[in-house]
Amino acid sequence: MKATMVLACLLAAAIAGGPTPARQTQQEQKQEKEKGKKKAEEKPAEGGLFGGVKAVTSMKKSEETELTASAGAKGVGEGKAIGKVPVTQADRDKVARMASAMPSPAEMKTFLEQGKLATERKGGRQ
Amino acid sequence: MKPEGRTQKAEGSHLPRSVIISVLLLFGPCLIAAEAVAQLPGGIRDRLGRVGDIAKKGKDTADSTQITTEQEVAIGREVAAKMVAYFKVYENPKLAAYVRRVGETVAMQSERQDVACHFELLDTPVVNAFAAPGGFVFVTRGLIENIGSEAELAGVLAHEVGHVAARHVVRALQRGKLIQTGVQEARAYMPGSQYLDGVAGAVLERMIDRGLDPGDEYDADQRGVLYAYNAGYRPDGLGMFLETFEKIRAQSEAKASWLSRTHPPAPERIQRMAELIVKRAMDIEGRALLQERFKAATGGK
Repeated sequence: MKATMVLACLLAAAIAGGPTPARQTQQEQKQEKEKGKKKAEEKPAEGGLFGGVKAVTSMKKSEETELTASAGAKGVGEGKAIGKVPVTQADRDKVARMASAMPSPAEMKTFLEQGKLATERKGGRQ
Repeated sequence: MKPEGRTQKAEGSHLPRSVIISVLLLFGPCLIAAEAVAQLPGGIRDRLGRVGDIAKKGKDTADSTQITTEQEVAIGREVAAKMVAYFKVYENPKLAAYVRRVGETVAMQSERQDVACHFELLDTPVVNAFAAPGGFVFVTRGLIENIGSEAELAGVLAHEVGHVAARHVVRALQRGKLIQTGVQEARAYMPGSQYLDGVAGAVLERMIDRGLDPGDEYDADQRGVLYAYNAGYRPDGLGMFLETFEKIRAQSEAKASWLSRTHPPAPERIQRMAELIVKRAMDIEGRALLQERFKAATGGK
């Protein structure tokens, strides 16, 4: 417990000492970092907003071109390009159609029976 | 001269003080806590250890529940919209309806029933399937063209349903701090919002350029084998497809690059699934393969 008391006294004495230049320097560094961050955000992204679209257009010219383009860079960066593609209302409508196009229970019953498949849930990893 | 001297003295005394503060702040609480714990009776010390374990487990659970199902579906919808915008839907209503029925058959066996799985075809010769968060599953035209039976298709779809069930993508995003878990405003999750656009971009970059962790892929394989088997299919459907895939890869690196890049090596996956089938004593003979039904649905492709 003696060591604890000594540490507590030292801590109290140090805190009572007011602001230190070291702390001020840290604040200044933080401000500078934030300024740098803002500047980086202002800088436009590489390739611009339509960089990805250009890639899509050229890849969609023909299947062969599409595959060659993918193979050229082993497809790396394609995900980034897809992420930048602007989405139209028509695209969103297709996703809405995808989400609503569920097979009906009657359709599923026939499908499962014809294929001699399970008609009941077995609960995943059993 | 006096003020200068005072400044020098002040600067000289500040350095040791800041060092003392740093040392005390870093090690002081540890010393105090260590000494306090050391003086506790053994039984209480053990209990404190267990409390630590519970707290850790609680943190793990919290990590996996930070994104609600609704938010996950909103993210998945945005990812799906970008996939559709880029690849375009392969418009073949008969084939799409068939893929949905097979997908629903294996999704019925998933342990996760709070999200419905939705299936769509993408118009690309590249051979792959893709599960976005929230149950949006895509299959490429190239994959359908290189599959030989319904059991193989069921195996592939069950693997994707496995990713959805285990929330692999959401967990990867949370681990990579690609989702701002603090963002709870409903408007942030509105279709087309700036926030969702950014998250969808991060999902696609992660999924298509890098892929998930190999452990997540093996986990989805194991789940897929079980879902397909419980649905009544042969459990080796995905394995059969992966054997075909190895041949495709030998012929056309371009068609196979997406799947190769984002998944562990096919032979290793086949081996692990075969071990599971043996371990669980799963039947193969007599289970549904359904080659003819697949041919009829795909127009003999």
